[in-house]
Parts: sequence; structure tokens; C-alpha cells
Amino acid sequence: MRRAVNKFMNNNKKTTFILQLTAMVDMFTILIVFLLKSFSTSSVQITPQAGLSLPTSTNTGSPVEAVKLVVSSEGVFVENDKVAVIKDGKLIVSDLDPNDQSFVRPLFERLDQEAKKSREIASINSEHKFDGKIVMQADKNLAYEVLQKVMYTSSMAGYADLNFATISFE
Amino acid sequence: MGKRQSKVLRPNDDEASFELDLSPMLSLMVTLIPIMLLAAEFTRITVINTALPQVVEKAIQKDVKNKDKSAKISLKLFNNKSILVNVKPYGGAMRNIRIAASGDTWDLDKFHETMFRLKSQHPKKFSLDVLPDAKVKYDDIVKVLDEARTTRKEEAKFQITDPETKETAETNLMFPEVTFSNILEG
Repeated sequence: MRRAVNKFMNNNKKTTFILQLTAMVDMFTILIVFLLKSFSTSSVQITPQAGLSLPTSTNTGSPVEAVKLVVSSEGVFVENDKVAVIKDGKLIVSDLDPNDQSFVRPLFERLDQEAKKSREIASINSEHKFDGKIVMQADKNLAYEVLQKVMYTSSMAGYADLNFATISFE
Repeated sequence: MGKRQSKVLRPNDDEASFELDLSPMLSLMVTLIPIMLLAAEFTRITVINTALPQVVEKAIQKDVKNKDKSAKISLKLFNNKSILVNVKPYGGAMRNIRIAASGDTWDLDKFHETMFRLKSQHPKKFSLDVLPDAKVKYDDIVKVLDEARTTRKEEAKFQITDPETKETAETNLMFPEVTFSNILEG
């Protein structure tokens, strides 16, 4: 009996569970190759606004650091703050100046505030300059008349260098 | 004397295999993947730079300084999807080239051919004035600008000679600089 027990114990040696890492390494390799292709070293990253359809373009211009202006089908946003309302693809009448139908007063006031802030910083910090740049994300289905009013108002506020954000068509 | 069974020593076949230690490689990948995920850009955003029309005095100064007096080219985009290309050569007569719509869409192929021809005639000209109608969609404007910006892959590139260094370079750029001229009209 004892011999049989000893034999049983000797045959059933302790085994360790060896983790198979090959499949996991394969998966990681594929992930890394994919992420390498999407890797971006640009210091400026523009995040498209949710619900906004940007137009596609063959343009290759790099994004610049500038005031963020979004013109969507719902309204006009400056640095994520809603300043004007768009209804049925047009700016509402109450946001337009009665003497100048192309002038969007709330947008002008907000941009003017940004410009003043920038100029104040420029007066203290010699490395910073007010360059009047804006990066505009606009919905592709909007008519030019809305953009024309926004651009006109921007130029009145001192922002004459407009950059239209588009999705790169590759 | 009994025969002693000799034990033939066979080499242990298990010891001949080489087991690759994947732990360092896995550590590297576990470090790399979060870094790359944070820096990944799944939709590439590019920008089209446009300049708004300058005030009158600045425009005059720019025109005076402007050494390229080849021509002034402007595009008028209509609500009915037709395009009018206006060419005013410096010291020459103005001419209009109308590109009618192709069905209910823009005839971008014909438009591109026209811009390519104009670029061949005025190789030093890189700027355009664009005057879209009020109801023209933003997406359509971008498509038209794309057709005017660069040559297509199958087309020849343009030779540019630097007047100071006399170096010649090739470029596929046609009219990358765009100005929306009717902004200040209101």
C-alpha cells in the first residue's frame, strides 16, 4: 500500500502553469504598427466639435495656435462659449446689428475681449504678439452668407487672419 | 556473471529548444501603447489660410510693393453652381471665362482645366480673389478652392525661378493664397 502511494506521488509531480505570451505579443505588435501610422508630433491639436461636419480637403496646411471659433448649425462658439444662435441655417435677427445686418454684436464683443486680453499680455510679455489669427471650424452645410457675417465681424474685432479647419482627405 | 543492462544515455530532447523570454518585449509594448494612444490622431485636421481684404491704405501699399504685376484673377461662385473666372492682366484687357454647371453640380473638371491653363499663362501668380454668392455652401467653396490650389497627380508641375538666386524649383502649387473679397461688402 505504501509503495503504491509513493508511486502515485512520484508520478504526479507538481506542474507550473506556463503563460503563453506569443498571442498577446502578436496583438501588441499589430496595435503598435497601427498606432505608429496615426502618431502625431504636432504641438497644436485641433479637436473637431461634436456634431459638426467639417468639409474634406486636399489641403496640407498645419494647424496653428489661435483663437478657436466654431460655427455649427446651432450657433457660434468662441472658445467653447456660445455667443450667437443659428436657426434654420441663419443667424437670428436679435444677434445682428440693426444698422448693419452683417455685424454680429455678441460675437464682436467676445472677440474684442479676447483681442484685448492678448494685447495686454503682449504689452507685458515681449515674446507674445497679437497676430489676429483665428481657427474657424464651420459646418460644411452652412451657406456662405453665415460665414460672411462671421468673417466680417471677426475682421472688425481685429482678427483678419482666418484659418478654415478641414479634414484631410487622404 | 549476469549481463548488466547498460543504460543508454539519451540526450534530453527538451533541453535543446530555445525558449524566448518575451517579458522585456511585453514591458516595452505596455509602455509604448498608452503613449501612442495619447498622441494618436485618427482624423487629421488641416487648415486653409485666408486673408481678409486689407483696409484701403494697406491695399494700396501692398499693390505698390507688389512686384508681381502679372494679373489679377478672381472667381465668382453663383448659386446655380456656375463659376465666372475673371482675368485682368496687368496693362491688358479683362476677360471672363464662364464655367456652367454640369447638371446640378459644379463642373470641377472644366474649372480645374481652366485654372491650370491660367497658371501656365501666369506662373508667378499664386493668389486668387473669391466672391461666392450668399447661398453657396461652405463645402462647395472648399471643393472649388481644392481644384484651384494644386495640380493633379497626372499633370506636369510648374517651374519657378528665384530671381535673386536663379535657382529653379518645381511645384504643384497653382493658387494656394485665397482672399474672400466680398466680406466687407456686407
